[in-house]
Amino acid sequence: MPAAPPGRPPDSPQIGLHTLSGTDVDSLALGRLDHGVVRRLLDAETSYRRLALRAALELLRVQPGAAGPLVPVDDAWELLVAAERRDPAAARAVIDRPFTGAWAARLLRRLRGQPSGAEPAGVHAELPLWVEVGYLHALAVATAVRAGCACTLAVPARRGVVHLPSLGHAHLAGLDLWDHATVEVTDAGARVVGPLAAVHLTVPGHPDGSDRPSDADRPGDLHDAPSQLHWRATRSLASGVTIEDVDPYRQVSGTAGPDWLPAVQIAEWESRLAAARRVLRAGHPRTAAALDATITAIVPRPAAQRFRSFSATSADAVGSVELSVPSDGVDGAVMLSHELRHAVLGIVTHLGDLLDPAAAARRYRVPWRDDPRPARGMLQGMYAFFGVADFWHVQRHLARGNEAMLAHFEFALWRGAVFDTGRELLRTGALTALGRRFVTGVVTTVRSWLTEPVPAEAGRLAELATTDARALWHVHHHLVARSQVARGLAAAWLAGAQVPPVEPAAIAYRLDPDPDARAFDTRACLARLWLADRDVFRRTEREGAQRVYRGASAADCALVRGDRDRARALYLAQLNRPGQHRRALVGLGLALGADHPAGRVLQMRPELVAAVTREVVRSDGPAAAQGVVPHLAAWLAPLVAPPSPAPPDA
Amino acid sequence: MNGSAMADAALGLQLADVRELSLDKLRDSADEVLRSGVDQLLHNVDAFSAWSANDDSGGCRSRLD
Repeated sequence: MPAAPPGRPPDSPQIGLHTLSGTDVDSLALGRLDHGVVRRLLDAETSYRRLALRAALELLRVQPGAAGPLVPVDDAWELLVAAERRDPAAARAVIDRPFTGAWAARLLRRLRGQPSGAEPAGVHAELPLWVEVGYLHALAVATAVRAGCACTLAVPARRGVVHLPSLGHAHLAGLDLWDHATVEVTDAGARVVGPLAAVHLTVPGHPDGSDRPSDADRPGDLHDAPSQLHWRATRSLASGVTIEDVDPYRQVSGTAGPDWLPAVQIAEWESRLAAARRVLRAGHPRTAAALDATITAIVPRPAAQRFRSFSATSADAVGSVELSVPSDGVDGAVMLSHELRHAVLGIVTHLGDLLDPAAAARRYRVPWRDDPRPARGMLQGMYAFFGVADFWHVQRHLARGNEAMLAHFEFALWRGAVFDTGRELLRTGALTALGRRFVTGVVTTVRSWLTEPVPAEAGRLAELATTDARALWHVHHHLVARSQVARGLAAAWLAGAQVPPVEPAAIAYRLDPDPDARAFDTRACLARLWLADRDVFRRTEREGAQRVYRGASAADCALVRGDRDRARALYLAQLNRPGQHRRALVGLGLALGADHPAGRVLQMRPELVAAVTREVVRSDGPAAAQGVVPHLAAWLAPLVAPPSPAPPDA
Repeated sequence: MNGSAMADAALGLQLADVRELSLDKLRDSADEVLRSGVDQLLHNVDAFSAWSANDDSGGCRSRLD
């Protein structure tokens, strides 16, 4: 982080400082979402976006041709300045949006020759720079339209679509893949002029604004204009939240074309989000208030599988949330609670470093992903799931029947995940002093939840899901560091000898990420289904759970139901079939239980069992490994120390 | 500056407040506080890119495909 700015110069009375105090940081880390702190964060983010505009202008100034066929950037900015002078609110309505931040950050990375977030290297090459730069021209025109500022300006058209931020978009025929069209703003109104037709604009919220497409002009020589020409205004819900399905910078994963949801889907979103707000206001009023202040746009994503809802937030676009259609009010409330914490932490990291940038190279396990993550992902996820655990902490006392059991399960699962991840973060050395203070606050809060009782069945399944995810991660991403040790153990096993004494360092593992690891949460999803809806669970089991959840088996269903004998038999049958069965290997360990020597080894060091088994097969063929896994795992038990309970103040 | 204020300053959680700056001044101002804010932002952009280069993508959900 650069040196702290100097004090306010006497000749610049307008430029002060946003500050966050230590008390503010502690309140966020302890889970409170005080209105005043959230307000200060959001005000700072407004400045952050505007500073991004200034930075982009500086970099574009040394690239005078960056705007390509459009007018120079300075001319577009002059239009913004004029429109702001005429109507400052219009400028705020257009500029202070999450997607302005997303665009500016992407452009800055491009201009500085850096990768763009989640997009693969080289992705910039597909989108001409002038099209990317031209979002600024679109911002200027959109502000001019809102302010009633007469102008004529060319703006980019991407794949035939002209998008004016906050206003809407038009499809125009006769345009190339990357092209431009002209927007005219006069006293009579505004229109987008393409090569074949012109389309009148409407402004959302204005008396003449409408969600209905406006018709295209078809004067004289434009009579061939296709019938799909129309203007579609950006739509908002009754709550004021925008449904953003068109802005090219709305998705975390990269630029995207328009989706334009039909009205019936907009109505569905209205209903589902209203249900989520009711849940939050009834039981989580501070979260509800913070969400109302923070989230101004929802980016709709397709419906997801049950218990696998999708949501995402970019620190570049704080205030916008990508969501799959919530299955119900609680699902929507959980996703929003999760994303709110991402947004809050995103702003905090704009103000100061919580992580040492030099720590970027190392990767670690997190309980919610099936691949190793850098410390930034750990920190962000820990805080987001802190919000989830906090939600269930309360919700489990408000829910009834099966929903309450599911809530207890989620609480038990996520308090453990947050606690473990927070403690691991503190051990990594990746945190700055500020980061340590923040994470210590979260860990302290969650530690106080660990002793809160949950119903036995919810607790059993939460523990199973936690152990499952950890063991699957080990068996997929860990290799026994010294392969000759595994060969030696296999030889001793085949010779019928006792397990030889081996130093712990000799069977240490190293990280070897498996790019094909997927769906570590399959058994957790089955557990949720078991708790939430027994009838559907039994039908799913009868019809084949693998048809619903990737990799699921009858053994998994038996395990979740608590029928460990049947699960054990079915997992053993799976392991006796040719091929790699890492999910079954871990499942067998879960079915045997941690109080069984083989179960303990399969839960704690499944990769060690897998490595020795591979060496047995390599030495004596597949027949030598038939049915031996539980015996081999038990044989290895002296090498695997039982887990030591965490000290209460660890 | 009292002890609490000094401790908060040591945290360094601050950013130039440019909300009231008109857009022409946002572009043209040579103010040092603003300059520091721009540098802070670029530092964040660079840091983000460093994380992104290490596959820090995809959010908090398991991969299913």
